[in-house]
Amino acid sequence: MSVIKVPEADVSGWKCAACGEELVSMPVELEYLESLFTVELPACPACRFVLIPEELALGKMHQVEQLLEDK
Amino acid sequence: MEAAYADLRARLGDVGLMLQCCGAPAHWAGRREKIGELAGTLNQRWRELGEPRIIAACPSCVSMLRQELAGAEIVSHWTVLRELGPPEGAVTPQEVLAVNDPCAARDDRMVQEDFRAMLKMMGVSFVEPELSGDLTQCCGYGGLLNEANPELGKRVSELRAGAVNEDWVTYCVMCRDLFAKSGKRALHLYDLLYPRSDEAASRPAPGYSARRENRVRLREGLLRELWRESGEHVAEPHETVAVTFSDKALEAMETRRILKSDVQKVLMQVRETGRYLVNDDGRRLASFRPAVVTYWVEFEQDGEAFVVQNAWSHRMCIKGGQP
Repeated sequence: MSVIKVPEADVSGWKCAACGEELVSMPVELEYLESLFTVELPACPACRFVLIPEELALGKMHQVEQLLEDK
Repeated sequence: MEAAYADLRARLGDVGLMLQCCGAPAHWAGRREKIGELAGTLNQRWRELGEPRIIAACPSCVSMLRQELAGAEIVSHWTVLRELGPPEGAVTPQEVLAVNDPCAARDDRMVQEDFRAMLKMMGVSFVEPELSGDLTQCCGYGGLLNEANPELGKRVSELRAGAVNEDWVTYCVMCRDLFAKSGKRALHLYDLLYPRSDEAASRPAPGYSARRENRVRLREGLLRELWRESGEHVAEPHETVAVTFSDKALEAMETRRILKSDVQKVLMQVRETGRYLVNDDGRRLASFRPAVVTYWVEFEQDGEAFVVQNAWSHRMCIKGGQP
C-alpha cells in the first residue's frame, strides 16, 4: 500500500518527553470503519508515539472520517 | 427541577421521580435499537411503579413517552399546573415577553394553550412571534441539527433567536439554552415559576460538560437530602486530576463536543505514564483514546496542576504507538 503524505503533518520542534527523541516522519497505520491507511506522520523513533496535529485532525482526517461514515 | 418536584409533592402528594432519557436524541439519530432498549427499561420501571400517570415538562419527552409507553397516561406539567395554579413564589416580569413554542409542541394544541394560560394566570404580558403555534420555527436543536451540522444549526438558532425584539419565554430547555448561546435573552417558564435569580434571562447556556455535571449533582443531592440514601458519587480516578482551562480551550471544547472529563482522562495518562510531547516553545501535548475517540490536549503544567490551552479529537484510530 502506498504511503499518504499530508502537508499538515509537517510539524517541527516537537520531541517525545519520555524518550527525549526528536519526532521524525515515518509511516503510521490509521484505521477507521474497517479501512486502513498508511500515512507519513511525525512520531517518536523510540516509542512510536504519533503526533496528529490539530489542522490534520480537523481537516483532511475529519473529511475522510465523514466519507467513510456516509459510505 | 428540584423546586418543581417539591411543588408537585407538596400539592399532589405522592409523586415519584424518574431521571432517565426519553430517547428523543436516539430517535432523531435513527438509532432504533437504542430506542427499543430505552422503551423496554421505561416500560419495566413504569409497571414496577404500579403504572402511574406520568408528568413531564419537556414537550419532546411528552411526545416520546406517548409513543413508548402504550397505555400510560402522559400529561404535560403545564396542564397539571394550569389546574393547580402557579406555585407560591412565582414571579411576573415587568417587561413584555415573546412566547416560543418548541418544535415538539407543534402538533400539541393543548400544551400550547396550557403554556399561554399559565402566563395569563401569572399576569405575564406576552406577544406572539410571526411563526408560532403549529407553524413554530426550530431553535436549531430539533432533529439533532446542531450536532449533525453545527454551522447550519447556528444559523437556524440565530435566525429564530433574533426573530423578536422582546426576551423569549419558552417551555423547552434546549430552545432556552440555544437562544442564550446565540446571545439572546431567554427564559424557561420554570425561571418564572421557580425563580432562583433576578437575571435568569441573561444566564449563559451551561455547555456540554456543566449540563452533564448538573445532572449528576441533581441525582446526588436528591438521594442524599430527600431520600436519605447513600448516593454519594464515587469519584472516578480521572476526576481527581486538577485542571483549569484557557478561554480558547473552553471555546474549542464546546465547539468540538469535548468534555472536561475527556480532557481529565488524557491528563491522567500523562500523570501516570509520563508520556507526552514537548515543543521547543514550551507547549506540551498528549493524547488518549478512552473508547472510540482519540482526544488531544495541549497543556502547561505547574507541579500537579494542569492548565489546558487547546483540545481536539479524531475518530480514526492510530495503530500501535499510544494508548
